[in-house]
Amino acid sequence: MTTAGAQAQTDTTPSFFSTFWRRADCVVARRTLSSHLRSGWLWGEVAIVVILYAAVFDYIGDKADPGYFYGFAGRSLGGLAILGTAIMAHRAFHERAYLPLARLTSRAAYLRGVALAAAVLRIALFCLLLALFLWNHHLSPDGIGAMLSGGIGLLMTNLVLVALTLLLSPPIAVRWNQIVFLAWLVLAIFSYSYYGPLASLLAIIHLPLLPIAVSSDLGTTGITGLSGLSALLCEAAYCVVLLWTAQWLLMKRDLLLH
Amino acid sequence: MLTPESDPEAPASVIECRNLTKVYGDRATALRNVTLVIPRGASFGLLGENGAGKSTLVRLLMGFITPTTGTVSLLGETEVTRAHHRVGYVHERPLFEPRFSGREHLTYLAALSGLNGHSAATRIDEVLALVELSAVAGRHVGAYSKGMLQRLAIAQALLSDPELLILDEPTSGLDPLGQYEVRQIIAELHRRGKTILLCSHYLAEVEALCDTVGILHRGQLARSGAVAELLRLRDSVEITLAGDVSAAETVTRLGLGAQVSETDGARLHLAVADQPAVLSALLAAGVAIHALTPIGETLEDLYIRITSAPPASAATDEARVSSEAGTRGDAQ
Repeated sequence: MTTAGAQAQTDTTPSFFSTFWRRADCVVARRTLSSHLRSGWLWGEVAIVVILYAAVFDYIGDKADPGYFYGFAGRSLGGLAILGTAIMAHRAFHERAYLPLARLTSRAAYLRGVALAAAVLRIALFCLLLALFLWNHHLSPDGIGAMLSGGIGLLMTNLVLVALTLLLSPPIAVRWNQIVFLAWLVLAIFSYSYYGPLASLLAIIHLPLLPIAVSSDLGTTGITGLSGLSALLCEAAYCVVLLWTAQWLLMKRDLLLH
Repeated sequence: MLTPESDPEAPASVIECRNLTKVYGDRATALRNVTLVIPRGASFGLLGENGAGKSTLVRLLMGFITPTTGTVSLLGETEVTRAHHRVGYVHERPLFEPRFSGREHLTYLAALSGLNGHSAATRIDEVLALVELSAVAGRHVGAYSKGMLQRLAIAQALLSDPELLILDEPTSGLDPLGQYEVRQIIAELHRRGKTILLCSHYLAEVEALCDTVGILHRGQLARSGAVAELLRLRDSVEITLAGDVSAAETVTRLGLGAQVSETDGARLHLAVADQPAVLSALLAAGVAIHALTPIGETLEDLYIRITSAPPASAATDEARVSSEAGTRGDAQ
């Protein structure tokens, strides 16, 4: 039997791109996307984006309004990011994951691969919606800034949602993790409309949502500014912290996949 | 890649578990104080009823779960995931997504083992040929039979030419022909010097393929050692009479009823202590003897004896048995 390792060494020295392409997390990401495609879920997400465009953005007139676009696209693509990532995570952490995990020296690479696949898909779906919108609507030079900053804000928010959904997916999160997060979310949303004696205290609870709120407004205001940049940086930090936490939790877990 | 024989630094034991206990979150104790050492080149059969802890032990060895107490070492690595590239793993059920072809599955798993391009393609062709799936490699695995899926599972385990193969129920659910084919592959791999850990319900399979066995019973390693040592001889022999002679009639005629415990056609069973007297009586009467055979214990007998033991005695035996298994492994 030929030794595989020796043969691997005889391959030509790879370039940076091929090194990245062959990294374990990139291999997992490619496979995750391919599996999402062949299972039909990816086509389902594409169909939702097309239907969303037809239902909301295919309005009469050819003027592209970034505020209008991001007003709807932010919420709908955000919801789709949560749903699509939850499905992707559920499929990625099926019992089948034992085979790739049995070859990796760290579970973190597998998680990073799934996160990378989810992120790439979010970007692709946003580009699809944007392309459909700009194909049929004329964007004036004044609106380019808003379109660009809104796109960055929307994508960053989507990436935070991807990381958060992965963190809260089993087997990374257990039931009580999910309950604590949902309890916090309910309190944070409630605090926006609460004006009672504990209002100032409750306001602290929704502080972590502020960068997301600011980032979501970038498409409407078209102004990035210091607050916008801070929000984007905060969201980038959220992504890193959420993914790092997810990796740490996954390393700790007993993997009893079904 | 170093072969076990060519690597002087390679540890003598491939798997080493010391006082391994696993308690799941719901307080269910899956393994209790298991000590087990499997030497390089061995073919070790792990037996046990459903829920005995076989799968838990395999998950611990593969690093999918962590022990509550005790230590695990795989190919000298106490952080077992570091040894993954030197281990081939076959799960208890074939875990292949039906929409991908056999070759696509192997390409994906090879890439995770660091095999790409031409070297990966060559290696995939080799393992596909070994498990005789070359002709259907391009077909979606959804169209594979159970036997083909199981052979694909073995093929993926062999991709990185591993030193150790952990096979969890590799013939489970297969028809007799499928079981035969998979067993042939395992036997061939053992001949090639691979260390094999085979978890199985099939006693005959373990007896045929393994040189050492361990029997897990209610989370404890109830017995472990070389098959030949464990299947000790009973203190009885079987005499087969030559020709068309009824053993029962002969025994009655010669008045050997007190010495002969059982007759069956031309065969009679008796204790070793009574053998000289019975043989003398038969020869004196001119009865021709076709064969004299010592009666040994089968693996099935041993398994039934151990797994039907009451829990209390199993518990009291635990320390002795686990230390015995460890000592035996060390000696090897």
